Formats: sequence, structure tokens, C-alpha cells
Amino acid sequence: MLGRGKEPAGASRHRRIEAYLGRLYGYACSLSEDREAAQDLVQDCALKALSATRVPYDEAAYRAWLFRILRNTFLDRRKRNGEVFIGFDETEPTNLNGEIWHCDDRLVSVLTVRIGITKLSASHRDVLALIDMVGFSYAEAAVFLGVPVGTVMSRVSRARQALLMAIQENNVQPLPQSSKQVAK
Amino acid sequence: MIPSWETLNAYVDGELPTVEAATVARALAEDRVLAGRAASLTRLKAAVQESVEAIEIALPRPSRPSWRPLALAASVVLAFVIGVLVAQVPWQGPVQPPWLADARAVHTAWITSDQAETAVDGGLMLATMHKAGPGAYLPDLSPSKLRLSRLEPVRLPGRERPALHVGYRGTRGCQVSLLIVPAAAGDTPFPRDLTLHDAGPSHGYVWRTRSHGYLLIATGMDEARLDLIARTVQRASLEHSPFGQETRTALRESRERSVPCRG
Repeated sequence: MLGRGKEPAGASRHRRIEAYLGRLYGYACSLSEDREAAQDLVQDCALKALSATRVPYDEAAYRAWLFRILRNTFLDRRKRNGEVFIGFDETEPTNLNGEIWHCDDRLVSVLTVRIGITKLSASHRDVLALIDMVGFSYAEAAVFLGVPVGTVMSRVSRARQALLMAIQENNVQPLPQSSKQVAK
Repeated sequence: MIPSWETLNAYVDGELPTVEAATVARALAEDRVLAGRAASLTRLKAAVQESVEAIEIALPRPSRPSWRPLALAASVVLAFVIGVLVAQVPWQGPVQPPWLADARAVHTAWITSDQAETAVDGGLMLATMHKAGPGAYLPDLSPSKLRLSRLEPVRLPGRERPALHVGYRGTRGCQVSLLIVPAAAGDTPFPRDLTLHDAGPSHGYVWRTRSHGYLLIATGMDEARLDLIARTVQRASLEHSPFGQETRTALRESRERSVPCRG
């Protein structure tokens, strides 16, 4: 897939990456859990993509290539800094018992989702970002992650269940009892 | 048939084959609770999509200019003309002092090595600074997101006292070397004013204080950012004062505007 067809150069290379900047940043945030580090990751990724001698011509292949650069850059940094990274294949959280979530869907908003995502495991954040933020199909995500399509399907459903549970837990917090109330 | 949670998710994602999708659609039409769950999932998917905050990210400049034959030919002619002109007049530019090449060698060896970072604590810092002699100034470049990652005495050829190699490492591949060289009698002096020496992707800034010569070197760093760092460190080395709030803000903003370093 690399280098076939007429390869865009110079300014058009910039324009091509610019179309993905928002999604690259979203994926970088989900990987690093840090906005500043995410910006650095995107810049690093863009630099590598702009400096590459061969670039995929096909748009789907280009997108996968770009996001792979980002992911590899993230993993390389972790390794270089000697940071411990649990990884994307850790055991799924045990509190997911497969029950279908039932809750008031008025709780689902951009704000509650942002908070809920921070509670997810790396594996769940990863697959949700790839499907919902980046826009990969299950098949594309499977190739990207190196797992069967069925695994992606399972991870997506469990990730959404975990996210809904996190949103629900964040919204149903018992009010703290003050010491005066306790005294009474 | 009640579709499973997995199937419902795949339905919302448009990942089911036509026949299976039609079966789920029929089930949703007959079951209001199930339809509500599918609606919640759709809402959740949209919220995740929209949860990415809009942000402006500066893209690096193209690393490879698109050479065109005409521009190349023009460059060759221009270079020839300049070469002829330069050969006819005495050279009055800055002479490359001998210690500049040595300093560059120290910097290059550091950035190309896989050496583990020096754990710089207060005690080590004091002890090492002592070797560089009184009056040496060690700047804190954390406002520019450059952390101290190396502090080693180094021997430069022909010098009795060791120089100090201070290495700063950024989060986007930037590595900056500061060499603090004790002044020595009879040596080619460092320039009093901040002077820039270019060597390909490496830029070296040189200046001196009363007691030391300083070299600040970086490879592939955004020029405006490095220039601000050099001017800031030079001023601080003369005044021996920490950076003020305005300077710290300027360093931070300069870093945010800059592109990552290229090796």
C-alpha cells in the first residue's frame, strides 16, 4: 500500500494531516491521559509522517498508518522513559458481569462521558477511541490491534458497558453527612 | 429473539450483516425497552465522538523542500558568485575557536548515546558545580519544559580545569547542552556578547561572563525557541538571578509555538 499512486507533497501533505489532527489528539488523549503529553504526541507523529519517504496513497491505509505512528510513538516514549505501562491486553475488569446496562440515558452527555472515560482501563479506552473517535470499522480496528474481529466486538461492548457504569456511578453519589447531622 | 448486548452494540456501529441487522431492527420495533437501550448506545457513541476537545496544534514545517531544477541551478550559480566574491576580500567573520569543535563533540556524543540519565540531586549538583569553580551559573529550564538530565565534568583538550556538561532533555525529542568552561589564561577567549555559530542542524550560542565561558548547543531545535533560551540564559548568567515570571511565561509560550526537535 505504501507509495503507490501519486503521492501528495509539501503543503498538500500538511493539509492531509490537518484533516486528522482532531482525531489524532483525541486518540493521543485516550492513550496518555494527559492533554499536554497528547499534544506532544500529535506533533511527534506529524513530524514523522511529514518526514516519511513513502506515504500510503489510499486514504484508509493512510489513516491506519498515521494512527499506528501515533501509537508506536506513545509506546516508544513509555519504554524510553522506563515507565511501567500495563498494556492494552490486561485482564478485563471483573466488575463487568455482562448485565445489560439500564439507566436514565439523560445522564449521557459530553461532560459525563469525558469524566467516565478517565475511569476506564487502557484496553477499554483504546478500543472506544479507535471505533468512536477515530472512526475505524471493527475489521480495521482488528488489523490495527492484531486481534480477531470478534475480540474487537466483545471489547467494544464491554468498554461501553464499563463507560455507562462509570457515568452512572459518577452521577449517583450519596451526599456526605455533616458532623452536625451525625451528632443529632 | 432478544439480541445480545454485543449484537446491540454492533448494530449501533453498523457492523452487522444486512440480514442480522434487519432481525435486530424488528426486535427493536417490538420492544420499547430494547429500543431505549439502542437509543442510549447511539447517544453514548455520539457523546464519545464529541468528547474530543478542539485544539490548535502547530504542525512541523516540511523537512524536505521540494527541489526544482531551476531553483537548484540558481543556487549553484549564486554559490559560485558568492564564493568568488568572498575569495577576493579578507575574511572578517567570527573565527571558529578550537574549543567550539570540542564542545560540539561532547554534545553529539551525548545525544547519540544511550547513556542512562544522571540522577541529579542537590548534593551531586553542589559537588559538580564546585569542580567548575566559583561563579558558574546553572539555569533551571523547566519553564521551557527542559529538565536537567545530565551533569558531568568533561575534559576539553588543552584545558587544565574540567568544564561542566549540563544536559537538558525535553518531552518532544529536544536535547540541549550547556557547557560551562572555566576561564583560562592564554586561551582563545569566548566572545563577550552572545554569538551564534551554525553548523548544519546544530546551533551553538557562545558568550562569557567574568569567570566562565558558556556554550549552549542544540540540534534540530526550533530556532526562535533556542534563540530565546540562549538570550535568557546569557542574561541570567550575568545577573546570577532566577527567571522572572514574565520570562518564564515567554519561555513556555515559545515552547508551545515551536515544533518538536529533529535529530
